[in-house]
Amino acid sequence: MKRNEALAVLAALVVAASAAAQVNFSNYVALGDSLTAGYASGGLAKFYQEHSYPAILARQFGLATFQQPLVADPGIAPVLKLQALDPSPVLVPSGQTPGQPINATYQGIYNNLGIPGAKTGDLLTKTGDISKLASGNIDPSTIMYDIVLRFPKIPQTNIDGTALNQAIAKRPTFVTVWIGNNDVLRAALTAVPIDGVTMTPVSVFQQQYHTLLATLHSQLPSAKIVVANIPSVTAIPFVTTLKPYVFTPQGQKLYLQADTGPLTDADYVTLQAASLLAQGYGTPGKPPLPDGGIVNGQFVPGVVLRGSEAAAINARIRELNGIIAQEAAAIGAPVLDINAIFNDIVAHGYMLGGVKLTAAFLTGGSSPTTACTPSAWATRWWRTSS
Amino acid sequence: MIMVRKLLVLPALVLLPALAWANGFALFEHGARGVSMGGAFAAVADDPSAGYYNPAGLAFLEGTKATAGVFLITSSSKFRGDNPFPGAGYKTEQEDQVFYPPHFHYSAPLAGNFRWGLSMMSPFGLGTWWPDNYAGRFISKRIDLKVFDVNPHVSWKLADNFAVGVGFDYFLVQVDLTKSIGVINPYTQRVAEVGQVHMYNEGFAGDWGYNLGLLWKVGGGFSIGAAYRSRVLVEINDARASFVQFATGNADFDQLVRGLIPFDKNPKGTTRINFPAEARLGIAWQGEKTIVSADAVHMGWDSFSELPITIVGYPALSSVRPEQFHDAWTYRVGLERKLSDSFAVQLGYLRDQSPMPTHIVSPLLPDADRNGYSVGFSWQVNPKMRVDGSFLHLPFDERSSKGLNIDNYNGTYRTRAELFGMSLVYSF
Repeated sequence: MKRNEALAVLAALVVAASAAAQVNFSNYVALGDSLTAGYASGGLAKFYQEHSYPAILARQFGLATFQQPLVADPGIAPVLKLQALDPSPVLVPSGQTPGQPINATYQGIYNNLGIPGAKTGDLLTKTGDISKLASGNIDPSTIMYDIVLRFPKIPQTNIDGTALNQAIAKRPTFVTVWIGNNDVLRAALTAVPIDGVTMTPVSVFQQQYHTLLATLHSQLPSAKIVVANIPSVTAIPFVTTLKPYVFTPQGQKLYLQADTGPLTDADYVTLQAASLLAQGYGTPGKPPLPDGGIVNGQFVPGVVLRGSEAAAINARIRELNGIIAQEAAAIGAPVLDINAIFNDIVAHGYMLGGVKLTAAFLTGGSSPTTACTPSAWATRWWRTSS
Repeated sequence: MIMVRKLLVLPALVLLPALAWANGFALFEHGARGVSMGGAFAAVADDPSAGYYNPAGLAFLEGTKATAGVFLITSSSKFRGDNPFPGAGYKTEQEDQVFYPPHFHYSAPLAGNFRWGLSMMSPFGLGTWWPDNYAGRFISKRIDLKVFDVNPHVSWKLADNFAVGVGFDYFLVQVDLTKSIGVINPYTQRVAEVGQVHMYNEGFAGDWGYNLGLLWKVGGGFSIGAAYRSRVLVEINDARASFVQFATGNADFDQLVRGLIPFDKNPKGTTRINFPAEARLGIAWQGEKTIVSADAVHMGWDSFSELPITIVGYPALSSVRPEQFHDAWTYRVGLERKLSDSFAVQLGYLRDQSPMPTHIVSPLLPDADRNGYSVGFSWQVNPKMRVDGSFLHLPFDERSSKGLNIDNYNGTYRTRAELFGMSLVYSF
């Protein structure tokens, strides 16, 4: 999935990048999240990393080396593979033992600094420590930072080894920044949009995004910076694959029941509900589907995304994309409108050499927003982080 | 009439392949002498091939005359890929093909200043054939479009220096399209080549058009010719789509694919092609030994706006391919010089504008503007028989899809063609 999606994205990115006359691509650093890292099907693994959009771009720029935090197959965590399609898709890990980092001894800073799961603020503050892996200390909450960022301090300095600081220390001539997806994604994955819980508050995002771009620009005044915005996370197969209704054996359309009442055509049932639906949840005589929310002061994820919740998430994405556009304009960086590109793919598909890629679960081949892609991944990420 | 009947076996030649080398997919090779003069023949129109170039010219012929001939066409088309797909460094080229579109023209006195006749030729054709495993195989592997025009005509000499002609065109059309089918394999998350679809009609679909012409010999050796050939819309309603499955090695996936594609059913297919109108204006000067002529031809290609491919009963497999051609001009100049009473040589040059917008440039038809350089001869073997020979070198301008192709299959095409033509002109 990664490869095709990356092609769609980078075609547009190359256009955006080359809009600014002669750009020096010789030293390229990519900042971002899982989409940038090449995380796919639930893991960080060599094959997908080699088809990450920054890696493809680097090949197109003709760069002799483009260093990535490669992980041997089957990846960390082992990438999911499809075991059976029928009667419903069965996804299983492709291995028992995770793969190992295979480029961890590289002396410099990686060109691809995409960190799966990272929010905007994480690029400013979080650091990693590769020595934890060597000592067998696998911490699911930091492992991606340990793999990608590696040094708590930038070597030979006392500067914190955050993604932002590493990017600056690499002295790139060209930088892509695609961050912000995870500032809203969890709202879709848990089917509950709550400010400060599953979504980054707008004012916080504004301040973090400003710091990110303004710092990059002031520290790298001659570097060309291109940013990408946030796709609609409610258009991903994780949200759109299942229907809010089922058909009885008699062919009667039966709207599913949630613990907050019956569903309508405006509502979505996430892929997280697949196993519950298989057990009959939401149908008469069975338990209702959990809608999620704050229950007894505790955050409880749900599987039902109400139409109004989806609208709230999309309104938030519009706000964040407004901020991205504004902050990018302030430093003269072009914006790749991934949001529009992905919407177009959802609506029309994407023809690639006569093959139509769509945003469909498993068989679509695209989902240019892994925020989104591998719904398989989305499920996995959500499990890991909650 | 016996001769006519014999010559009517010519439609058998319809079964020969057609070809690509033209403005869009129009062909102008309907008489060797006309081609030798760069195709600038509307105001010359002084042999039976006028049945195509300008039927009014037939009115000035004397006795019964017929022309039969064929062109041999070889071509080469090379493709260089662009990023991101199929990628810089990717190269492929079309398979070698030889096309041989035939032509036949007959003209005889009818009554008074009227003459009648019949032309049969291939006014359109397309033949593109890329290697089986090339990167664009999901767009098109092979196309063979054959069009045969059966064109009875009548011409009328209204005055010694002025004539008109009218004809009816019955188009016989056969299409044959082959491409691979690509599906995302959910097990590998890569494109899998799961089969091939081949759509074709076995007989011919047909429909009518018409053409008109006038020729005015102004005086002082000058003449002006004008001709118009109408649009012809041909619906092909009886094609078959035959689907062949390629095993991928994954039984589950192959089973899934069998559920999506009617491999054993040969469903009916339909399509529709709206062939463009053609308006031609020519001027010529004729001296004792020399003819100089020039034509401007307007091709009404905006008729070809889309190519609908319907697999009856399978909307998911049907598509409407945008073509969005625009009208285009082509310019032709020619020269004939008589070296003796029985031998003449010709030279010609043509410039064709491509009617194809950049985003439509694809392996189906990598059309481009082009130049044509022609030479030829006419040899009057005896009072009854003339032999015309022609050679046309047709280099196309390089054409890049500039990252805009609708299938996101981008790159640069370099095409050229060589045409060798021979016509026999017989006076009865």
